Amino acid sequence: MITANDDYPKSYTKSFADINMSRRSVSRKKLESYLQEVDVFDNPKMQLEQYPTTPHLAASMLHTIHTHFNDLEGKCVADLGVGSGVLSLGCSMLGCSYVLGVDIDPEALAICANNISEFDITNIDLLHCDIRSLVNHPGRLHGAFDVVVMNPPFGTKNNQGIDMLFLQAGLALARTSVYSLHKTSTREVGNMMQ
Amino acid sequence: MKLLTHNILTSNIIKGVTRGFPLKIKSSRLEVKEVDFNPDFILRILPKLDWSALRQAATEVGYGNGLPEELPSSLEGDDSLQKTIHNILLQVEIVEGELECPETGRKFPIQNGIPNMLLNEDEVS
Repeated sequence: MITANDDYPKSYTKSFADINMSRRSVSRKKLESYLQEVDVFDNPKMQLEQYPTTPHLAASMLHTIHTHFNDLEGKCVADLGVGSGVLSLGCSMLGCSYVLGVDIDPEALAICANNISEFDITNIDLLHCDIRSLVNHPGRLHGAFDVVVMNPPFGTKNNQGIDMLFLQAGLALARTSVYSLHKTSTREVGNMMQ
Repeated sequence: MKLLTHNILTSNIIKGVTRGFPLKIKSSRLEVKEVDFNPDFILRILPKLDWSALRQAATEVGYGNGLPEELPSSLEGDDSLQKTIHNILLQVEIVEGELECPETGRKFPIQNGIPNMLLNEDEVS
């Protein structure tokens, strides 16, 4: 178990039971320390640009979404290109009601499923599918989510434009906000589209 | 895969499929996992879901008991029905099984709780 004064516990079961009692008071630093326990890719696939979202970046992004925009607690969230799941897990820890994590890579989904189970989190579902197929045919996923979070591929590995396709899919799925990370050279797109 | 997820999945990503909903469910292994009950979330999300597809899916996996044919106009105060719906939306999970496109019969396996809706190139619309 984690105690209130243990900012960086050396060893604990991957438990965050104390969060449930005081979700709003989870500090960014504490969230980051939980997310440091998330397993990442053993062999990231360069073609899929599987750069893991660092615990620091994930915690900063999610804590801002939570405290400044109140866009996580009780919300329905999609995570496009879920990878090892650090954003989805963080969303769940900050009190969202349901997350759907989507990825094209079965190995990433296996790592993610393992992380979800290690943290004993039960409100994240995973879907194996190609985000690109959702751009023109979102079906009932269209507007099904309050919020979309993602750290999409940047489109720098002979896959130019993939970041824009992820954004289009995100905008199709979200009713209120899309929070997405991009490389500096695509800043005009907007790091945070509301 | 939770039945909430099932309710928002369609097979219209397949070439020639117009609606692709609801996907038929076959379940060979189910689990029920405890999820925090949040009545506000249930009340907020229900109007966006297809009740008859949800009821049918729950029935297909053996959790159709206590689900009315028509959803009452208001669930406010009906704690018991809210909890039943919470259970079938978020707690019942299909761990192993398959989904089937209602128009083409294309099957999508569910393994380790994850539906695989990745298409072959020649199937993509």
